[in-house]
Amino acid sequence: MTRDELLQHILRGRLLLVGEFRGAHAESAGYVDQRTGEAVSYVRAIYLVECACRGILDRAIIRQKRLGVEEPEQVKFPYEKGKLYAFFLEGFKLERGHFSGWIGDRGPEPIETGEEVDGAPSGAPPPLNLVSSQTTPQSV
Amino acid sequence: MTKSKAAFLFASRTLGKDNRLFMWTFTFKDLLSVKDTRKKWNYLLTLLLRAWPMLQGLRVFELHEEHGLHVHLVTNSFIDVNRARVLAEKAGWGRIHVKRIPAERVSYLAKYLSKERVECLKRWRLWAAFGAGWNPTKVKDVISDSVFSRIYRACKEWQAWTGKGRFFERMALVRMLLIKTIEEGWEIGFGPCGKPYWMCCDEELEWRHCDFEAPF
Repeated sequence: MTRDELLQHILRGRLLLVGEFRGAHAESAGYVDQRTGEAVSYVRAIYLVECACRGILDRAIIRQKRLGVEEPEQVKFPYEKGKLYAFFLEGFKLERGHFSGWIGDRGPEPIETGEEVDGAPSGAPPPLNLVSSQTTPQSV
Repeated sequence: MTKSKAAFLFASRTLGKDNRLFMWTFTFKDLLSVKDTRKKWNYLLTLLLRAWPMLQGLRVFELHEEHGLHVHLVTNSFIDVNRARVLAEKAGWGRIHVKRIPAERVSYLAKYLSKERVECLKRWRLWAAFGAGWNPTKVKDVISDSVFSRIYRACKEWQAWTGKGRFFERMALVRMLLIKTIEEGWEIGFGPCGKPYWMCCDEELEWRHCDFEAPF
């Protein structure tokens, strides 16, 4: 996905989270009835994403139910650690400073980074929330 | 899926063992408050159990967007709908609808348990079993099985947690270990190199004991 496509999704109001992929794990999650031994289970993928959705760089956990998959081993994660991905969220919750989200069938999509994320054109003024050490005296 | 919904599904499987289930819907002509509906449901259930003492089933409350609170019922035995209608009228209920369903369709009712709980239904039992002679699954009978719960159980053993104290601090520790487990590829419920948590030093787990809890 290019940056323009990403922007289009945002402008359309899609709920998405962009972050650096840090790892993933597939699990067989579910519940077991202790009395009868019966179980309801499903395969779920857990993605670990590094992002700054609360202003500070933190890990977010995103879950995805994998319908039609019987074994966690069948789930493949062809994602590159450290690369930026967009997650199309179905929902999320922010509890005590921890972000947890869940996505539907649409998996993480890589974002093509043609240029540096924080790069600014040469000669552009610094962002307002940054203080330049050249103009601020360090000691009086 | 919540634990409560899982317990409901297990209970419905027990109820539908002989594959003969009936789904009932009880509604009102007029829109009633949630509390009044509950009172009327209790009265109706009393009347139904008096008329059919062997009646077994599950009830689910559904707060409809337009029609207020109504009750869905699954029973495993046939009861005379005309007699049930008389009892429902006596208890102040309006329309009754009944339909025979295959046992596997009972999960349809579980969708009402997936809805986000509205404020007025907080602390309510959204579903309940009724009738004597059967042993429905309770929420406490259900155990969750996931990476998170397995790490939680390992931490519980390591930290000798008892009771429910410092809940949020526990959750923060388990979440941190979940993140480390995925990122570092650790075995579930173990630290680096397959070591049990109690054998790992704080630096290995990158864990520092924290005395405060995040306020939001």
